[in-house]
Amino acid sequence: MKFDMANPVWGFVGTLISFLGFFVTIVMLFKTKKIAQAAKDAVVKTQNEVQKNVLLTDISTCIGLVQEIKAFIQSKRHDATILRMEDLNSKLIQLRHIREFNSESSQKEFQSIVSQLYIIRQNFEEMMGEKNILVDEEKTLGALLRISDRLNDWIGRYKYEVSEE
Amino acid sequence: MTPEQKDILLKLKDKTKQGKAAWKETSVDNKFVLDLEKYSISMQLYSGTALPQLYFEIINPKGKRIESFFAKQEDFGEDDIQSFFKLVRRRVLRVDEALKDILHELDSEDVVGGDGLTEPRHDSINF
Repeated sequence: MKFDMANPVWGFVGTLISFLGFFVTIVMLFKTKKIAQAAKDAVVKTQNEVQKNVLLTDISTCIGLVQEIKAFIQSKRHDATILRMEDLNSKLIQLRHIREFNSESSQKEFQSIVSQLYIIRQNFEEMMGEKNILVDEEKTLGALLRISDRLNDWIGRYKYEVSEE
Repeated sequence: MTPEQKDILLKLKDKTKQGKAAWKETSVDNKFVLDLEKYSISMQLYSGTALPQLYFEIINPKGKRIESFFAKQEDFGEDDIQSFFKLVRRRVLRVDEALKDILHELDSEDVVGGDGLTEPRHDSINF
């Protein structure tokens, strides 16, 4: 068949090819969008997992600090006790701003730890300033144990969430 | 005491009396703490002086004391300052619950005390 622009068959074929091209473009566009979204999701997931691992490491560091504080108290190294308590307090202040701890209940849990630490620290500072003030070692160790129990609960909570994903 | 401090004191007193303030035990005797969302309020009884006083401290989210004040009997209205402290202590240490449990155990017909392994002696003791 001779190519004749005036022939309506060629017009029809041209239109058909245009529609096909348009359809292929649309399909490709959706495919690309899907791939881009999947890549974005993967990045976000990795980012979350890294963040959670950092969080778990930070909480573990806090538990380590509580253990050190307990050891310093038992060996009567009061200056080291105060220093470690300040380290722990700083670490907790940083942790408090993490997205995972945004809820009201988490903030209350934090405030509870921070206030107990303040009271223990203040008690040691007063004792070092005035010799007639005594620290109830048993009660103090009990309070620290409750703090480390709570931190261990957090580890359990977030570790479980990571493995679930 | 500033008007705000007095306001806080009276509201704390009311909430505590209504049983709506969850005070907690601390590592220091005669000191209890109430944790709010962002701040904590600690309360300590100073009974060594002629007139007992309550010492309050406000602890911020960074674990620093930002405010402190003493409350005397005259700031407390008609309630007795020591009775109030005792009420908090009883609630925190669950004293009433403990007394109820003890009474329940003593009221039962079972043998009380012992380790449950060794048989108690049945001969009566003359006082």
